[in-house]
Amino acid sequence: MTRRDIIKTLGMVSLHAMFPAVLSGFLASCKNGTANEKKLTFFHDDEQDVIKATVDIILPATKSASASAVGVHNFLDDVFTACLNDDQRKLIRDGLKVFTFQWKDQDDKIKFVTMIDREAYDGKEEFAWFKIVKQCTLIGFFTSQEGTTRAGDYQKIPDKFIGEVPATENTLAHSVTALRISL
Amino acid sequence: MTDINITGKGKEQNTFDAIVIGSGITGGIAAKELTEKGLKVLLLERGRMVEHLKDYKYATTDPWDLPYRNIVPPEQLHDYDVQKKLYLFAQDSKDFLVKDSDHPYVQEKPFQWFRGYQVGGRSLLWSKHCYRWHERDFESNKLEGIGTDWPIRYNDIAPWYSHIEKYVGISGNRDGLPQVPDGEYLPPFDMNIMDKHLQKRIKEQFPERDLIIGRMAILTEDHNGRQRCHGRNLCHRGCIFGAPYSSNSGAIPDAAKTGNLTLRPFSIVASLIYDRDKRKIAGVNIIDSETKETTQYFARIVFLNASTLGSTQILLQSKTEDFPEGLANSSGALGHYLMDHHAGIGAMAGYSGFKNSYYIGERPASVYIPRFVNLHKNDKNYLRGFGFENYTSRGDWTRGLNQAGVGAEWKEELTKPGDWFVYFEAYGETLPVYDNKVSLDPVKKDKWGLPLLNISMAYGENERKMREDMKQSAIEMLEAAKLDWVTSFDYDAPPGSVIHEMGTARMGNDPKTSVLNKWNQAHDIDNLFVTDGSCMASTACQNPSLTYMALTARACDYAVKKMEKKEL
Repeated sequence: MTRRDIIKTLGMVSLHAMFPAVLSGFLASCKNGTANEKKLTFFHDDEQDVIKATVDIILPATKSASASAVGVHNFLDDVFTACLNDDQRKLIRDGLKVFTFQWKDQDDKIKFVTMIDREAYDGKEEFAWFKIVKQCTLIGFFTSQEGTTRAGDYQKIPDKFIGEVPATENTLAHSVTALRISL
Repeated sequence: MTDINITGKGKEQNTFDAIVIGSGITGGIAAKELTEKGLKVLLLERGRMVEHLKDYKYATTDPWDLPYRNIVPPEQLHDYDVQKKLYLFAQDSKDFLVKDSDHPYVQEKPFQWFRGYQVGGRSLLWSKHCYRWHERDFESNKLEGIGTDWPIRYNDIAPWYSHIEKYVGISGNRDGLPQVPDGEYLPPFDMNIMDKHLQKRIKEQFPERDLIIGRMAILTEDHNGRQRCHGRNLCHRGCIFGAPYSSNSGAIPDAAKTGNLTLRPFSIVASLIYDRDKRKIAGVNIIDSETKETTQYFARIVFLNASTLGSTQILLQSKTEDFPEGLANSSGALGHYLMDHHAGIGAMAGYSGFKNSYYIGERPASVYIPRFVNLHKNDKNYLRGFGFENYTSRGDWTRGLNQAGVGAEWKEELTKPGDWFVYFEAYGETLPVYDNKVSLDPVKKDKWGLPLLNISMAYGENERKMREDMKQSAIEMLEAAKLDWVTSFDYDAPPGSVIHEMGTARMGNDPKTSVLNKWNQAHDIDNLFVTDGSCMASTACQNPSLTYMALTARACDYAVKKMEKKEL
């Protein structure tokens, strides 16, 4: 399989057999407060800080918590352990090495990740691995209780449907209750 | 299997005034109507019990607590080979769908048969759109020389539409459009700003096309002991307010209140018992789906409401010496003229404007565009027509999955409502064709020893030509609305996918070409009534359940009056 083929397969990770179980396990651990206690199985010791910093650059603390506060780096660890094959894991690992070389101060890190993100979504093969890191970061964060209730408007029982209300700067989007992922 | 012999008083204990087979949307109505008229009714359901409120497992579950965050993992999917293709299929709905592994069937041609075998049947999952047919819908077969003439016209069913609408509680507007006659409505759901914009722009550009709020069997105010909708759009989980109509929230509890209802779940009807001396149905043979024991029940009249293909399958399984091709089938029409609407085609669009408008709650109603083609004369290269079921909403965080962006500002942007998204899907009428049919497999059997159903249906040339116009109509309406982008779609889904399968035991005036008369009564057997979708002689393009329920109530009224006169 060529590198290009392997990159294409990365987009299917959410369809992997284990993905629902991995997501479910992560959400349960968020709920019982053990999300950040997990021992990492994919990321090596020297990669842990990098991945935590990366997910927090993607989704930093704002009015809702940061991605790492919710334990999203641990979700990525589980996904990359359970849902990737060796070729795919190597792609991710090789990509992360780029980050390790380039870390300087926080502003530089943000600029660097922003650049890689842009290149990835422009279709640059070299950075395609970053897309799956970002997408799993979003999924892990926004499907957690924190993400659903603090980064979205979770209307468990709205009272009634009202068709037109003003949307202001502070209006949050309705949280997603039925997840349908298409990457 | 073990036969349970009925001896002594057993037959008496197993005898009722009426047996209703199937507890779905029409079986529930039949049970309610007949019990309220004083009959002792046995309601047989092949699946498990689902009691309103008590058995709605996920009704109030938070999304992060749903198993697998509502995804069905692959190890569970192998039981749902067909059902998994349903748009609704997820953890929170699959328990109201069959396991295909337990209930196989044979697709002679591709056919998606979505089923719910539990008390309430698919009335727990239906989309709840309710539009009346109009006169032309009933006349078209005769005018165009297609199929068999309907033995009724709009005026015959109009009072029963009203009867059902008032009972079930339909929210909607009286829009004054003859192609979808006005009914008895509760206040309509709100439109949002995009709906109103589309309504205005479409009317300006296409004066004969009207976008209206969906007419829904979902309450907008408390009604008949059920509470109004609270805007969750999670009807398919079972609603704690009882706002969406189902047999579970409505007809079965109301039937039970009369004291005349006996409900027996886990009861597969293997065949009807035909008394050839009296030329009547004496009762039913059932197999208990859990124990596989067989037993018999008896009644003066039988209402067959096992869903379109379920009812026809029972009649085919009940063949006798007098009816070698299936009970009540002297016409040869039983099993034939299977139809389903065709849909999965239309256009979608996006719009970055109206940023300052949002909505509270999630609306379970669509906005609808009634049929506007071939209404007064046939001026298209196809017959009949189509309507549109449309949805509008604003984007959520998932738009971030496929766009560049990182950081605080981008995250906060994702937490806000995104662009408007518009979805227009057309639903078209399908013509009746003899060769679209079902039959019993001569060899294959299910785990209860009953033959599998062979299904053979294909859409035809009329449907194909109509689809070109369906797509083009959607595109031109969305372009008229001057949105940011418009793109068409055609999922090319096979028959069955719309879940409006109808026909195979059609009504008609002539016993030589139809199974049922104008009262849904079998031409051949006067105490047998079939009032679910199998009775339909054509499909129109409107969602059919309202028409099924109206026919059911009408047939119940007729049957009981006949019984009172000792003519049944």
